[in-house]
Amino acid sequence: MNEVDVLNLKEEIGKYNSLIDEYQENYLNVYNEIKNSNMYWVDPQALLFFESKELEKNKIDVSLEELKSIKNIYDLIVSQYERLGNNIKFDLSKRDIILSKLNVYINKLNRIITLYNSLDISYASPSIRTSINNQIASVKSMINVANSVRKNIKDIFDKIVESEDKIRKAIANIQIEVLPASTTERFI
Amino acid sequence: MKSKLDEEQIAKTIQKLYFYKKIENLNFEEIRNSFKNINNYYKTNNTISLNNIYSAFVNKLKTRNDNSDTNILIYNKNLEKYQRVSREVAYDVIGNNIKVMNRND
Repeated sequence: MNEVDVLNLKEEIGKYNSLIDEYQENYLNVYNEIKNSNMYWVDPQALLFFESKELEKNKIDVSLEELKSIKNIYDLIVSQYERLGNNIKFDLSKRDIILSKLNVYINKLNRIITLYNSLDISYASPSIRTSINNQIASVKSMINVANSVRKNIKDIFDKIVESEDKIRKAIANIQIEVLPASTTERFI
Repeated sequence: MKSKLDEEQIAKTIQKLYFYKKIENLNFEEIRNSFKNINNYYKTNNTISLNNIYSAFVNKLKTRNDNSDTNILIYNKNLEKYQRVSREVAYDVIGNNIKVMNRND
């Protein structure tokens, strides 16, 4: 069973946004601290070290963009599912079974209408005719309701399939670049 | 290039880097937990792909965390190196002065 808890997802995304800001702020503090220290440590190793930190900053900027692209996926999930409700549970594998059962139900109701229409009521009393016509109207109304339910269910399933396709494509576009591990050798 | 290392300032830098490292550790754990929570609120066939992204990113954050330790280690080692060299120079200066004093006696 699949489940999308839109309300909690929205709340968590709010926290995630703050975490990205903290990540960025803390990294900039580290970067500035290291950069400012270059006037207090001057030698060939220091030169290499500060150069490597400039390169690393570019890599961290990429990380930030990656964190933001993950956030865009969350926004997409919310925008796709909040049009369906606050907490959506579904099983796409049951889609065809449910629609097929509704088709069977609608077909049976249509068959009842056909049977009613095949009755010869020309000799029936007016009250029986009225009663039969009321029954036909009632069954037709049930068919309309069933058709409407079937359409709604199909639309919801279609929207879920469309949403999951969009989300899958967006996830496939995300690439996480590997950050090289720092070593001490050249800098001591 | 004239080599130098201001011990006091570099010691301050190391202290600040330790401080930021603590914040980084907390931030790292919170981002990891956030990924876990979001996984609980979005369970579909796409969750596995999203999990792969999280794993790759958590590995990256872990490397970044290790790199922060390496930065501190580099500062500490260089500080120690300069302190050792300045001690050796001081011993040499004192030693030479003693020799000069002995000669003068």
